[in-house]
Amino acid sequence: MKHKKLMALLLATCMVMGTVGCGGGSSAPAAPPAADGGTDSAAADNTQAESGSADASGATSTGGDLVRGGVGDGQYKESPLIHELVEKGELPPIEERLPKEPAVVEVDEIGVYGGTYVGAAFGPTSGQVDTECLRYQSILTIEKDLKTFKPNLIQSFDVNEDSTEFTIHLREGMKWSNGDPFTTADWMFWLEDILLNTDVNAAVDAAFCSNGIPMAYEPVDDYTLVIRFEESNPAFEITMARFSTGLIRNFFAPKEYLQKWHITYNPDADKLAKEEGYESWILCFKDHLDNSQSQKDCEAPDLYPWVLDRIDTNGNKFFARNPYYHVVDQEGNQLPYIDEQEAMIVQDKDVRNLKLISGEIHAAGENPLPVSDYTMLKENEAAGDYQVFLFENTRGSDCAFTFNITDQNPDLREVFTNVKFRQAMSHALDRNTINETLYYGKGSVRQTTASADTSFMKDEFENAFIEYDVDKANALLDECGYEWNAAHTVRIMPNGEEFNIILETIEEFVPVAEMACEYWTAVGVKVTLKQEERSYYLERGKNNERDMQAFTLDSVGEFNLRSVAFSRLRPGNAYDDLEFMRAYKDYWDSNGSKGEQPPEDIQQLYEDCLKFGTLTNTDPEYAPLGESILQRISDQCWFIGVSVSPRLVIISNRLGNTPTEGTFANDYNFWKPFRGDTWYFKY
Amino acid sequence: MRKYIVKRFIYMIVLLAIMSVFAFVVIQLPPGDYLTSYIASLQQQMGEVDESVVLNLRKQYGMDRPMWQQYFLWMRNMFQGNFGESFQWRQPVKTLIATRMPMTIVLSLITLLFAYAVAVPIGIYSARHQYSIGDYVASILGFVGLATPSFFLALILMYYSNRYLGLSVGGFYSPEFQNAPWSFARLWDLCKHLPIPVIVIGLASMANVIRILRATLLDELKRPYVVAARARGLKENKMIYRYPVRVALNPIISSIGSILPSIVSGATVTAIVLDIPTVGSLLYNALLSQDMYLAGACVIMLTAITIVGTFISDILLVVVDPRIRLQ
Repeated sequence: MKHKKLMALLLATCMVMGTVGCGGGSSAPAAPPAADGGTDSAAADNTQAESGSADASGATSTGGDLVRGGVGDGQYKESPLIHELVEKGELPPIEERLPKEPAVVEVDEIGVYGGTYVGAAFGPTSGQVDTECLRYQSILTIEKDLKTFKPNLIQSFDVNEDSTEFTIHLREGMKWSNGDPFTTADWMFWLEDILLNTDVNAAVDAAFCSNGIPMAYEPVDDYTLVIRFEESNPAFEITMARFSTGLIRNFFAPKEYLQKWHITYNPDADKLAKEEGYESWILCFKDHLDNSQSQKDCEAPDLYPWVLDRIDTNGNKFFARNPYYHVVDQEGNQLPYIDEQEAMIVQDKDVRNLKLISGEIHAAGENPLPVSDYTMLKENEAAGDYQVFLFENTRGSDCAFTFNITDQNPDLREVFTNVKFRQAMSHALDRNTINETLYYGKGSVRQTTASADTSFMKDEFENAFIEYDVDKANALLDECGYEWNAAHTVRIMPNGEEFNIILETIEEFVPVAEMACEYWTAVGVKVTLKQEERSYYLERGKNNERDMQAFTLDSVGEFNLRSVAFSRLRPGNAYDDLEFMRAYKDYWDSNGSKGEQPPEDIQQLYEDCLKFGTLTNTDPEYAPLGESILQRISDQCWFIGVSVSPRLVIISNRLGNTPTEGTFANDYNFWKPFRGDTWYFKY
Repeated sequence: MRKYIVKRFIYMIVLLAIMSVFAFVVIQLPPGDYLTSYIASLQQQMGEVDESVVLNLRKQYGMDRPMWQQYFLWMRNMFQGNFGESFQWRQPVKTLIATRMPMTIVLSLITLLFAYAVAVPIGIYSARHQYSIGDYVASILGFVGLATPSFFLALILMYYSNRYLGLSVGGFYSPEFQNAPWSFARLWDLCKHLPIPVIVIGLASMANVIRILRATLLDELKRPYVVAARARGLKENKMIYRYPVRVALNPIISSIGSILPSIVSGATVTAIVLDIPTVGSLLYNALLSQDMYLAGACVIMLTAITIVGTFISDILLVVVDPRIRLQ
């Protein structure tokens, strides 16, 4: 009797559990298609509802129930969503929104309007590149051949003979995403009140300089502007093609919208800033100006296919279609096809993999996918309805190590500035084993230097100090005078302390760094790994607080070397994630009022790099100077590299007009040549 | 009884005050605080920061005052509902926590209920049928539950629920309901997403409760009062549930105080893997990025929950166990 009752109790509990557990289960198979269908059919409904007018206007209709192309009777057609707003009178008609001569893109397939593209974001203010790079547009496009550029945000441009004057012709009638006209006033505003305003911007980026002197703008009329350089700047074309979002934007900024926060235009800007909770107008203005990943202002206009619309409480960002976007396809359909972009916060990379496998994220690759995940991702292609590609890479090294040669700690600085020490550390690494262990041998072992396909590259630079030779490493360290301690476990620094260097990095490079630390410990140099969150890591770099760091060295293709005066290989320009001569950088940035004066050889190298940025690639001096710079960088062994592996790129099968092969590299802004604005959802 | 509760309540307040000092120290512990990094980033952005700006900032944050005054300022701001702004999120700490706290609490409570609802009957069954097949099965399951790394279980469950049940990966909601207004469909969507975190987080504490309950109940069942009750012909079920089970529940109830915070914060790793926005994962990221105002507020919140949890368990103990009442 009592047994029966107890069993009944137990059974009941089990059943409750069962229903809780299966509650999701029994209904789930039916629910997701319905839910999925919700978004899809909504998009399909939209296109179908308009199918009558679309057909009438002659849009091509290929697939059974999918209607390709947009709505409109005139020369241009638009998204059904936008068309609705126009009919309600909330937006002007498409002819008034587009510039007189819109940019035209030849797409492989005319797309279907609608859908939300989702890309993973690894933080609320960083790691959102798999949406950002599909969104932003530059003055010029980088075409798929990665060699030619076409005017994009501008109508055309002319260059004078010695490449010191670039005459820019804007698109007449082009507008910001809020409808304000886009004119030379926006360019002048950016140059005078942002770039050259030392309150807003302390140092001018080398990309906007020739031989260290900033460019000058001269407006001719509303749609014509001359950009002048002191010295010839033949690579400026590349700069225009590669420019991206930024904390202070680039080349131009929406004057109409921003001027009320700028002290020059509004004497009460400080008061306005206080009302918004800022200490001064500068911070307030910069928060409204920012269109990088830390953008906060959801009203700020832009020229991109999608603009920031809202940020939810979890930090997910949504980018809505820009009704004024200046690009149409060959049939006159205004781009983009996709309605919305979402940068979805994903706390962990395993979760991102699961979200890829479940098809919740539509593309990934710029936030790197480790080569070690290749097999797993490939196996699940069918489940996630995506394809995995191996794209080419132009990195200098997937992971590079640098020692802070302007370290605030004088004892460490003494060690790090010793070139033999750096060479010894390079020889101590068994790169082949690292490559086999972590990259399944898919990488190619090399020293960190310029990209392998650079025209003046030499084998000796790629192979400098890379052979795994413990004896040689030990001999070099002995030469430096770093004796072993009594127990022969670790070497002693000149100041009498045992070696213990703190290596700082972010999660991505921990596996490589862990292996490297073991190899270094084996030759008596103890290196302790410290993993940090990305923004904290960058912050420490900016403040010259790191002793040693590990990060990717990318952006070193010839493209970059030419356009950014030897790019990240230029002294003081290794970027916040890998910078190892911060004090010298401060000196150059402040014209000598801050930081420390660099030694002569480094100063010379710096100047040669700047000079290199002023040469055309047909100049007889070009290759010899490039080679000489690489030679010096290679001899110094500032960067210790490991290997370069191909890039994993994942794209959903649902998307159309997407690439299947190519080069996926920072040089070409990763996704940019593959034009996210032409992508569309096939189903 | 009332005296006891009042006494406990006063203890709770004192403890909270002490813990707030502790949380404040935690904020100040790492080299460099929020403000130094803020000024450093200002200098980075604007170049030379004017002395007056630095002074203004120090005044605004009260950093020009001695430590104890800063503490009281921080407390005062907190009582006024001002927790400061998160460096990393560029949002007020209050909003960040306020949007995560309700779901964190809901999840914790459901997990707690789930763990007890399953563990208590199983524990009683195991003890009453010691060394039976059912007992062995429950024991094995309990040990497996204790030993399985929860993040790993979370990944496996997430994979299979997506593969075979078609649930979206991680989070509380499917993407389409993420920012939708409340509706029956959204609630249903939430219900579908809850089982995985509830099972994963609940499993460990469930196993714990089973073991404790079984052990204490076994002890009690051998006591003379049980034999006496049986001898007087009390119905077995009535006897068991009225006396030994009640005693055996004591250690379980007093563990609520410790289980509650460990469910809220201890599930951090699981929360990150499951991609659910709880206070635990918020705290984790805040600590990594030295987002100190956010971290401090989270620490205060979690301590408050722990203390309240202990308070509740103390009162429950009184209700359940008359011996404590009499002391």
